[in-house]
Amino acid sequence: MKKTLSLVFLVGTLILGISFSVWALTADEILDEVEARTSEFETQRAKAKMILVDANGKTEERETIMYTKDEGDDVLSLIVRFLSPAEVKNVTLLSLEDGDKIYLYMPAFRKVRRIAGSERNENFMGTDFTYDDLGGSYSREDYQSTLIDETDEIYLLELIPRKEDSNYSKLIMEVDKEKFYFRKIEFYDLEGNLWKVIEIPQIKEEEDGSITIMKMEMTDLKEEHQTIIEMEEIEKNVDLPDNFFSLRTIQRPEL
Amino acid sequence: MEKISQWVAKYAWPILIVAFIITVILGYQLTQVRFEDDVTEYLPEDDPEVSFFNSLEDEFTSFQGKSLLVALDFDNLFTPENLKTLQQIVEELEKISSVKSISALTNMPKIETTQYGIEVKEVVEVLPETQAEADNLRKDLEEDELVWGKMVTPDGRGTIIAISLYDTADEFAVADEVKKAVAPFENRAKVTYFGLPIIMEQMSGDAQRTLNVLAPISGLILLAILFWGFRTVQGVVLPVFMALLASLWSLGVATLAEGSLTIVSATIPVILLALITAYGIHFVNRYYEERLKVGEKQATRITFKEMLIPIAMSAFTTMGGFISLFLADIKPITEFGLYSTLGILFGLILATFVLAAFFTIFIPRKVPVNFDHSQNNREKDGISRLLLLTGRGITHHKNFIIGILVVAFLILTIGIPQIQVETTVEAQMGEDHPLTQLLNYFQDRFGGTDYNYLYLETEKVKHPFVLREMVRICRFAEENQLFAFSDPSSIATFIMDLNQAMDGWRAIPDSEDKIHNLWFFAEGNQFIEGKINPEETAALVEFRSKETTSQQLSREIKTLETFLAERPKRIKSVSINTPGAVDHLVQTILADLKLFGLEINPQSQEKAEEIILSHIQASNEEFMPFNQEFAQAVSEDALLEIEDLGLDPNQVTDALMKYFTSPEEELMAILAESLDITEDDAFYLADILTFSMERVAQNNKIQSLKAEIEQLVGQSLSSKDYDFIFYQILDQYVFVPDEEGEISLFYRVTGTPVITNYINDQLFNQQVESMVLAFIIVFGLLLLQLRSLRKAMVAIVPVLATVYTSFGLMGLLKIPLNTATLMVASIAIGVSIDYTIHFTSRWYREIQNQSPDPLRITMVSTGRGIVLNSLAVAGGIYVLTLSSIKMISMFGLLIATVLLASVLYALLLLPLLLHVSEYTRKNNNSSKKGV
Repeated sequence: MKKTLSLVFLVGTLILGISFSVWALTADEILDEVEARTSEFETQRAKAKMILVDANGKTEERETIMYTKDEGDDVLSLIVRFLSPAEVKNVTLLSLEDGDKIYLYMPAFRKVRRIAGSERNENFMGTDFTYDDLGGSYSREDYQSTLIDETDEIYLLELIPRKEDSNYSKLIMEVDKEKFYFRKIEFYDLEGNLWKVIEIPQIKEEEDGSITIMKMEMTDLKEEHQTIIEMEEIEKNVDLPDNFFSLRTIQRPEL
Repeated sequence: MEKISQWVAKYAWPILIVAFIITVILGYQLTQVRFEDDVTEYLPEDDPEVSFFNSLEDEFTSFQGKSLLVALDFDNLFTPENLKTLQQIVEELEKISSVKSISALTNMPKIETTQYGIEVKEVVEVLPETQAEADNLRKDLEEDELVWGKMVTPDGRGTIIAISLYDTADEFAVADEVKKAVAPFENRAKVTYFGLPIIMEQMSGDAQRTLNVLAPISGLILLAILFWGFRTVQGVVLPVFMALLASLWSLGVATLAEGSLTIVSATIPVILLALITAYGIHFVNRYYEERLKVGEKQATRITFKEMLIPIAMSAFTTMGGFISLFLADIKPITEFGLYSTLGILFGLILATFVLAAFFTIFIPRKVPVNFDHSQNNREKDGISRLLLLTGRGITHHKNFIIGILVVAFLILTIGIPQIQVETTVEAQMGEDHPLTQLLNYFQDRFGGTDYNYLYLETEKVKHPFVLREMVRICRFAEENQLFAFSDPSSIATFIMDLNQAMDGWRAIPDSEDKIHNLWFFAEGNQFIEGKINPEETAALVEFRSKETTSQQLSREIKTLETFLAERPKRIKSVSINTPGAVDHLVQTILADLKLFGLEINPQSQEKAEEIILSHIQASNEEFMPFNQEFAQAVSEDALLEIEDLGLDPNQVTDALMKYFTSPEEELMAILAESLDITEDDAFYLADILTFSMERVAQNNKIQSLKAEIEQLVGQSLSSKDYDFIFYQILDQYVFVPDEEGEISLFYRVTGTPVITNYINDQLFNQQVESMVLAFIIVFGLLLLQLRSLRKAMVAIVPVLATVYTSFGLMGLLKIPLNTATLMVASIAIGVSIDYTIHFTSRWYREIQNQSPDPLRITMVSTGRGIVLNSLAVAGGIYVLTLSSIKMISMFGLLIATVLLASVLYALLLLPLLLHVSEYTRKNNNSSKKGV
């Protein structure tokens, strides 16, 4: 389920492997390489700041804390709690079974409600990312890829979605040749017009050589709106109780 | 004057060449002419109403942005095939890059409360595959008041697709793209489009036809009437041609300056043609006279010298009427006034300078000898005989003529109070016009196409009191059947729907925190977020405006504004424990019951207060019956948590029953024992269940109040609408009016219909202003010509009578006052003053010359000219009645009829006044001499 892969972006832990020299890679091989170098983790805790910028330059900042668990078989569980601003403080989202079950805790009501029916092509929590965008996986299973250009620094790939109901006609992806992460992706609408752009202006090279994305910017050119996600703290493989990803947890004043 | 005439003779060729170049340039411009009629552009941008309306577009993203509507009519929408067609069309439309969003039956969001919580889903999530499924879907939707009658027609055959465009989109280009995208499906459904480009296209087409067809017809009629009067073809062709050129120049300049014109400007050529032809006739007439007298060489120079001033005076008086319109504040009137004035000026130049230049170069070999009829000839024709008869009537049957005029004025007086402003599309375009039918189609099938807005400014739009006031205002509009304020949509509606899903009641909670939590669901929803400004200090409530009459629209706006004026303007939140707070809450609930249409008779009023008060003061425990039903309700309320713990809800219900029967035992202990769960889990579950007991008790409390009020009023209150009222008994905060309060509220209504109403209100004032100005201008010119205040005052009387007639006729013929008919009085002043000046001048000249019969001579000479001219003008303008646009046709009918009436006054009332005034003057002189 791509929806839950949003975790990957939200917590900013799309970690990529160290670069190595390759000769004459095909587009599919580059995608494989990008995916292969994504580091594995079992649990994760991250603090992130979401900054929403509207057409008039007005910004809105939200701080979140997020817990993620890889349940195996590519199934993820997630808890997102809003820390600020005050109006949404402690509103907490629980996603289970790869997003098949989503619950929301509303502290003012002291109640949890299950929410459903979120559209994959709708924006996620007021950001410019749709659930699909947040999926963040650009594997050869999902895209037909072509290497359209290459410089000393980047590979330029054209990705055509295989899914018929995709919002996009194509993606143009810049992959860093040295570190194998995507620096930039341009999303084109069904009529071929440039619609959205994701850029990665800041990364952190971990001690083991993997790459952590520290800042990600998504710009919607049609809406003239931008979402910036800045990672502040990331802890991998943290100790979490077995029943951590439960309704009970999200009702606690402190996670 | 001599010098100018010599200059014209010297530069005849350059004058003609310049005229030719101007004609080519402006003629090309005219091919680019477009007609647009957007009522929000009628007023200047700095007008307070318009600038406020326009400012909302920057403040609220949901505000009436660019949009298009596509209506689809099937034999039955609810078949698998037709629903699929609808979805396919939506998919095609979504591919258009300028399309921002699409609202259609297939993707309409719906908030639903399920056993587990909130489900935000689409109305048609999965398309039916069988007819039975389609029938079921129809059955479901028939009960959805947001869908049935709005998104789907009441007969279940039609549906609407609302397309929202990006601000940068070219609406006309997108309209074409939309039509192209839908075209392949047009064999499966009847497709109807609506939106500004569609309206403009239709209006522009009609206006173009008015321009392209009626102007030539008017020219031909003018030629025919003038030929009948002057019996010469060449003598009338040139003046009509010059008038045509003046019209072309005027509209060419208008197109160059404005880009697009309002519909009423399409009448300018016809009006100008009728008015300007007279100038050329005067010039040519005099030229022929001079040719016969002084020969080829001198004729042009003398004609120019002699005719420039009279033609200019005549033009200036007519311009006086038009220029008064230019000073109005309503675009179509200003535009018409400006370019008609300019057209008259062009007419003056063409009928003098250019005609003189023409005759200098192209000297006619021979001229008609009988063009200037001798007096004997004149007296033989029908017009002259009728005029002589009238003259005799004035001198011999004065009282009879006065009687006729008095009766006529009495009849007109009956009409004046019946004048009504009516600017609805139907009144302006006519009931059979395609646009009226298009609007009626959307109104009948989908509830209308126009929107009004309530703008609300405050400190916090998400404050409970602010949201509740939104609900009350919407309810007031609904209860009072304000058609211009139907089907409200606001953030309050959204919050109520979510509260229902969250808490079971379609109401606004009293806590800001709860509202903020609910608002979380609006994140990223542009439809909802767009209804408040970014600072969250202002909100919009959107209403569908069904087209009514202008009178009704005005009444409805006043009704709503009166209600708004009575609402609290500043409040503070106080705790329910504050002295007086409970009483205030009781009164608020009673007032809300009345507002929601529930009349409690005076005898029951006290009892109602008692019931409400007792419920507010009752503790939650009083509504905990501790029985099986209660235990089950508590388990259901905590179902998510129970299931999350992996427990069976029935076992929890049993444990609760055990707790109810042994209250001395702790709930936690009972749960741990009965459900075999850890102490930690039992502690958690006990907390959850205790809270659920409170919630179920609160629910019972509201139900109890509802039941008791139902019993008191003898009426079912099962509608969810009443949730809003009864939910307030749970309030922990009460909102009381206080001048020092922290929340203030400011309201203002706006929208295209509101602006239309505002313009309607201005129409009378505009008419009076432009009319007074026209009077001042023409009276000044009259004084200048007659050089006597007494003479000018006598001469102005027929003009006043003409204006009076224009109003009387409007009332009697049921012609509504609108942007076009408003101009009639001012135009009539400008035109009729000409007749008065000509007649009065000639009369006094005859008196000065001591003519034996000044009236007879004036009647036959000047009177005949006036009749011929007025017949030509009226004949030309009557052509406008053939326009497919009712407003233009009525305008033509009224103005032509009023101009004919003005001739009647010039030849009946004016001679009578002159005759009486001269008789009185002579008598006075005789008595003075006698003394």
